[in-house]
Amino acid sequence: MLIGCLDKSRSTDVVLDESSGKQSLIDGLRAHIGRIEGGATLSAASSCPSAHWMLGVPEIDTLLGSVGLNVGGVHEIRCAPPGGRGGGAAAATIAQRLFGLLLGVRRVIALKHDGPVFWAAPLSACNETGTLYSHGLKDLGLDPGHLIIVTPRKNQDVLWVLEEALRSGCVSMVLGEVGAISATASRRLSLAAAEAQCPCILVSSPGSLPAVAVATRWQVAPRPGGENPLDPATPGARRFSLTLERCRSQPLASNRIDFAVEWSDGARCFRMVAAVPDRASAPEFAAFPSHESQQRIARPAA
Amino acid sequence: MPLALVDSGTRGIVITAINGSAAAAGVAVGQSLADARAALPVLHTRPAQPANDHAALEELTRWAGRYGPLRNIEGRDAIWVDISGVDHLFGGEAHLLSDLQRCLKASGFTCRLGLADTGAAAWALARFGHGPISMASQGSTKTALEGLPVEALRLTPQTVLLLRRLGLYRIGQLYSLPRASLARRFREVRGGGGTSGGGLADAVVLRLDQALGGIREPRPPLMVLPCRVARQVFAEPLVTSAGIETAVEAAMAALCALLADAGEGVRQLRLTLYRTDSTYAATEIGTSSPSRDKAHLSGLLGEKLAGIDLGFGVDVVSLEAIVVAALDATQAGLGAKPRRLGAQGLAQLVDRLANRVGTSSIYQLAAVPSHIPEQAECRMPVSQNRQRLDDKVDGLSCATKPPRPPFLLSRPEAITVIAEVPEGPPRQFLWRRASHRIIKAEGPERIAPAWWQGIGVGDGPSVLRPRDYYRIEDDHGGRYWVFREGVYGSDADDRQPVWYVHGLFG
Repeated sequence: MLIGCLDKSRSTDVVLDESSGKQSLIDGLRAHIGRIEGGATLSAASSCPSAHWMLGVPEIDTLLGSVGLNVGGVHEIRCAPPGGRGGGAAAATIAQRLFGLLLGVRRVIALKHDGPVFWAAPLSACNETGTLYSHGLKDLGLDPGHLIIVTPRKNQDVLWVLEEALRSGCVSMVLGEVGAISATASRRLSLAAAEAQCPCILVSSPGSLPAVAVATRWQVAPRPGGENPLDPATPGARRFSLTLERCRSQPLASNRIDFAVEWSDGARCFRMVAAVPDRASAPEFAAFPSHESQQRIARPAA
Repeated sequence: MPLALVDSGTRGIVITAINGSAAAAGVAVGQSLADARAALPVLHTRPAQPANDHAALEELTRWAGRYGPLRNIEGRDAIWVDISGVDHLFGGEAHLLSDLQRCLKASGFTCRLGLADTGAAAWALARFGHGPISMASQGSTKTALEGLPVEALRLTPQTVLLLRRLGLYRIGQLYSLPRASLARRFREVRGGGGTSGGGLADAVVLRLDQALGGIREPRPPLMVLPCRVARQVFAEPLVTSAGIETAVEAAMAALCALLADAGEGVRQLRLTLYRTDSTYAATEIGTSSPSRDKAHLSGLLGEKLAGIDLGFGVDVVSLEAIVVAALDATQAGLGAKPRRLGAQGLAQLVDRLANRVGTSSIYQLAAVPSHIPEQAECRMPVSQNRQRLDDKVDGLSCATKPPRPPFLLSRPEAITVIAEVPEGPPRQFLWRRASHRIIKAEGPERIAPAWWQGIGVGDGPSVLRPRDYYRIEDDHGGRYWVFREGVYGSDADDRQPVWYVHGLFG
């Protein structure tokens, strides 16, 4: 078997024969595609391992590949399909927004230097679910001094703001809450992010179709919060059900894995939740004694 | 055909304006319509439209920029223009007035023009002078006013009546009177019925001095004088947008050169396109930091240019720097492709966004030293030097504050709550028609208003009631920041406590 791949711009042919292993063939092709699609992205990021943008959960970070979340890419956060009741829908929307912010916090921590962070959301979304509150952001670990908030009226303007901010090359991250996003719009954002090497986090509205050209796509659902070690009657750590729906740099296994993670306010990173407390939805782990489940366990989707 | 405009007054329908034939038939402004109809049954009437009149007058005032940059509306039916240093462009004051009269006549206006050394004297000449054009040449104001009636001094009707009773009919008669007694007799009556608007006053001496130039009478102009102006004038009107763009670019280059010479940068810029049919279109842009970057400013204007209607063509393109600030020279870049610097690039980005989405829609958050949650931050325009401001407030805030939500509702929303005990945390609440069963709760954190001023919820009235905040979690994992306004069983007020949701923890 002979595979020839002609790249007109560089005229480098990848010629592989059957004798080399399947894995090396795949690696070779992947590297070639990477070169076509802006290989500088990967090489620049991998040169500085401390700057990797990861969630802090080894199980999820391995899914993302060795370099973590793509710095020059669009990361979409979708909300899980609504559970039917109104209270659940509100909680899901808030969890989705919060997860977007927390991903941003992880990025800011990895980044070291402090460029401005843009947050753009349509005015209607701000009226619906509130605007950012600087004292709360400080608690999360985002410095409100570096945050620039833009609240256009139209969804189209939000996309324009995000793209302009990315293209300016003087921001460190953009976060946006968007409604419907077309394939063209998501591709434009993706190209702008790749060019500026600046991540773009999209929190998409519940009913919309998924964006096409994204580096990763996450599905987030709220979970009952963790135990507060000091007082069990009060809210503890925030918990999310997390699914990595799509990851461009690394092929995902066909069966989607549902992770239960919690946000640690002190360490400012995500942690895997021990699988035990949620007995009702995970009967196969019901037999686990709670003290043994201190090590992180990935819970398959029920 | 006698015609009158009518408006409803306090005592029925009143005539507000009349035409020549109605005036000849004895109809007067201010007369009630019933009286006028009794005298002149064939009087035609139309409803008055004061707002449209004002808009038309403002339009005319803007057009009057042709005769001088400083001009404004005066009262209900007049315009003043400061023509200092302009008259020679028209070949003298007389020629200027005749040109003005010709133009107004061509536009269909009947006018009375007055010209004098002071605004007050010009006002008097325009209204009470002989003929449609009255002019007092330089230094002859006193003699020109001599023969005019005392009403020409913008006095209240009561004062005019009193002067007439004293036998003082003409302004000239006032010149010889002792000032001290005149001032004592005609004092400004504060709060009396005399100052009923229209710029009328009781103080005869004051008005006389203003007319004769003894006292300065500042008049705010309609438009702020631009600091720097670059104009492009064309013999033939431009009708294509490409032509306008080229003209704007040329004007921008001239303006930036002017600004560079002065060491200034523009903060607010206005582009006025004067059309051939004596109308104009104007658009403004603002920048967050002073700039004289040609490409940047042209880019900002370019987005606005697309929406401008060119009409029959544009013959004057005027770029006016309204607000400027000092801007030292900086090196634009090295080599062929100038690189945008971080701070400068951000300022330009913010300008671009602000000009499209609106200045109020792009902001940063700044901390304010207040313990009331919604008052503890404010929105600030994006700027570079606000980090210091935050540091100042940080020193004041308490270090061990209970957590605050990352999302705050713009106004607290009332909820229906079921609580186990009145003073305790809620057990269940209804918000936006969805029921939330509460699993965990933390609180209360009591936040009391300052004793000298209450706190209001949203637009509601300020009340002196404390708020008890709870951080709660519902069965779906949603976390909310709710509060109870007021205390059960307090004697201070008889209103029941009310629950609100204020923030979302996620």
